Amino acid sequence: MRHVAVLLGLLLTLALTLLAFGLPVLESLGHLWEGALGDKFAIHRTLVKACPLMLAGLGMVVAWRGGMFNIGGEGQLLVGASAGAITYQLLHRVEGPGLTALVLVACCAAGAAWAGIAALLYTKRGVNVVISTILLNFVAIQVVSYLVRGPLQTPGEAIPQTTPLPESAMFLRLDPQSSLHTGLFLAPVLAVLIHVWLKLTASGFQLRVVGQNPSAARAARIPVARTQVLALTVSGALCGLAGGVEYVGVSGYLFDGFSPGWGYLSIAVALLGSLEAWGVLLSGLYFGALLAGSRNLEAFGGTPSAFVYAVQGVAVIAFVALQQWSRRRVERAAS
Amino acid sequence: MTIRSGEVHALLGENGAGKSTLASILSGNLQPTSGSLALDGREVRFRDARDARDRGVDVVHQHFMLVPTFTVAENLALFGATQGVAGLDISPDAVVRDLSVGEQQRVEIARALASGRAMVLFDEPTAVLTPDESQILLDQLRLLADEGRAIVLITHRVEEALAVADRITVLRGGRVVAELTPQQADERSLEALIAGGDVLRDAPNDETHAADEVRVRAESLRARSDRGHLAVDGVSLSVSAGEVVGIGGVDGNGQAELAEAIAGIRELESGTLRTTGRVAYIPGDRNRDGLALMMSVLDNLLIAGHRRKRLRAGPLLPPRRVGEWARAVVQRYSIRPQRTDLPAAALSGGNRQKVVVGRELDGEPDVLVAVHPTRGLDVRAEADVHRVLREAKGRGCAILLVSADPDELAALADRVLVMSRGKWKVSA
Repeated sequence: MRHVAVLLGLLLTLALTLLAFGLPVLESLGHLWEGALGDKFAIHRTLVKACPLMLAGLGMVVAWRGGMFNIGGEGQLLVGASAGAITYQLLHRVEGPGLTALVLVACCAAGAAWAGIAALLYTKRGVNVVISTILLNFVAIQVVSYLVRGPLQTPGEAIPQTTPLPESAMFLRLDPQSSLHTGLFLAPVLAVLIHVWLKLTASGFQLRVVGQNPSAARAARIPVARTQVLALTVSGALCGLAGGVEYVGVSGYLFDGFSPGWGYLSIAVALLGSLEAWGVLLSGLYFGALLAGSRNLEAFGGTPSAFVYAVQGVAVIAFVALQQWSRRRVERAAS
Repeated sequence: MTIRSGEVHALLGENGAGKSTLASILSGNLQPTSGSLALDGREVRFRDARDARDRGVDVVHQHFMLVPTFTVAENLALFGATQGVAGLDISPDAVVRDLSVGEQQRVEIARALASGRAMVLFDEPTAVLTPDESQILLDQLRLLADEGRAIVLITHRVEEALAVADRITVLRGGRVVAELTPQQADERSLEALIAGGDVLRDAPNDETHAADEVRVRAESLRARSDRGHLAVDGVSLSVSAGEVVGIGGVDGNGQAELAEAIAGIRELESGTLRTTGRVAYIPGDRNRDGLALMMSVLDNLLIAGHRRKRLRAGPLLPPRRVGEWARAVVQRYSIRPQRTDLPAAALSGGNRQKVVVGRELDGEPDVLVAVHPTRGLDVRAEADVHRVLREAKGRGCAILLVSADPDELAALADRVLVMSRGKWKVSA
């Protein structure tokens, strides 16, 4: 019942946003549907777009549940992808799945380290996580920009991008006619693992308590700082992996504007997924569909694809407001 | 109450007695729901703190209202004090952030006295000061009153009120319970007025239990408060199995910090501490330090339970096992409603406290540190908690009980130590 309500709510916010933009609602919804779910290719497109969103979204769940408001998914994702490209550059004698694995490990490690900077700044120096993670995004964007024009640029190429990975090191294509790749299965597997961790293990429980009330956690002698560092670095690793999956699964190379804002969008994905691992899979698909569909809307409806970001914003504000409202009601009832 | 010019008027009471609320009303920060306020014989209604300041009433807050990155002169200018303040003895170009706490307070006072205000309230001004600094401040208050100002000293420290005040008003539970002069009172009678009963006091005496199994042994503990002053200053004590040691005294004299140090969550500045076995801890502020209010009762029970071996399968907490345990705890400690899925916020204060007490005592800890375990509870919940504490004692648990309630200490403790300014107070 509740899920039906959420779905209807999403459709409604979508329709209202279209209306606010002065677009023909039904026709536009039709274009979106066509682009996102209209045929096999549309569905594949949706799934491919959903991949990094779901992975980074899972990262946000881990951080936010631990009370670490990570806004730096974009930076962690970019640094992750950069580490993947650097690994390939350094190890191009390794081939096939071995290279793929090494690249992905490097992506995770780099994302974790990038988030780790913010975690240590917070636990050692009290620097606000929101601010440090946002600022690290800007640093990461410039790092990518430097890498693709400098040390990682394909020799003899005019375009600022890195040398593409060999086909053997890419994820397998599930369909030769689309870019649907085996990396798709990572998110559901990790969602199960994260769900088990947060809901069924002592360590995940500690993380949630620290997120809900760090001073109660301290009084219960739960290692608060260590748990916060863990939450943020695991989050960074997942965001790094999101970058890696896009790198190894879709593009095969790194370039300026590698991420169209997945890291930011992942926050919306996590919030709309009620900060639950399974919820992120669903909302990741929703936003993936929106991204895929908006391309169609742009082509045939003449709407700039930036429209998606407006919808994203409206949906998240509506959803969070609703959550806060019901939370208030619980608290009122309590007092 | 009335406040006269030329006097130091002490407003005495323990935490939560209503001192700060009253100060907020007098200084325009809070509007009274009813009643009236007259200044120089004319009824007034302060719109806000600024309005009160303009009419000559100012307050020196416990938490300073200075801008830390501004210089002394800039801070003073912000409040209309343009010329230098005599006797401040601090460079006007010094940045406030770099000053010691005592110096910052002097700036704060200079600010409040700027342009000759007629009445100044001091909200717990000595809480952040060393004893020497406190003495200097109290002397200064005397001088300010002698110059014709009305000075209100809000404090929970009886000896300060006796030392400097011309008149003392005692608040308890939001009401004036006494108004007297220092000549009409002594420390003992004032403490009784503050607490609403006789405060027990006893010199430390470990001999009777020397032969028992000692579970807590602390030697010369020193620990700092969150605000950085030495809250526990060289305290020794021991608690044996099956013994309840009560710690009394007017709240805010280092009891909470001592309890945290013994529970192992506050760093020791110096001294040695040895505890035997598992230490359970009931914090003094259940909503802030005890519970995660938006989490379920089950999760709140697990805050202590998740480490227990029998609830775990390796790193996992099997839901069925945990659920059965939680339901049993809810039963045993008669937590109402008897459900484990509600958020803790949905419970009444007494039942919230029973969640904390239940989860800490379940599994039979060897040592229990309990701070104000019945504060704010109704009679029945209080009786429930007392029964549970007695049972724990009967099992041989060593209990350190911090309480501001003399009846509670009398009912439960085998002996009572009184803390004052971070030290044991030896009975006169």
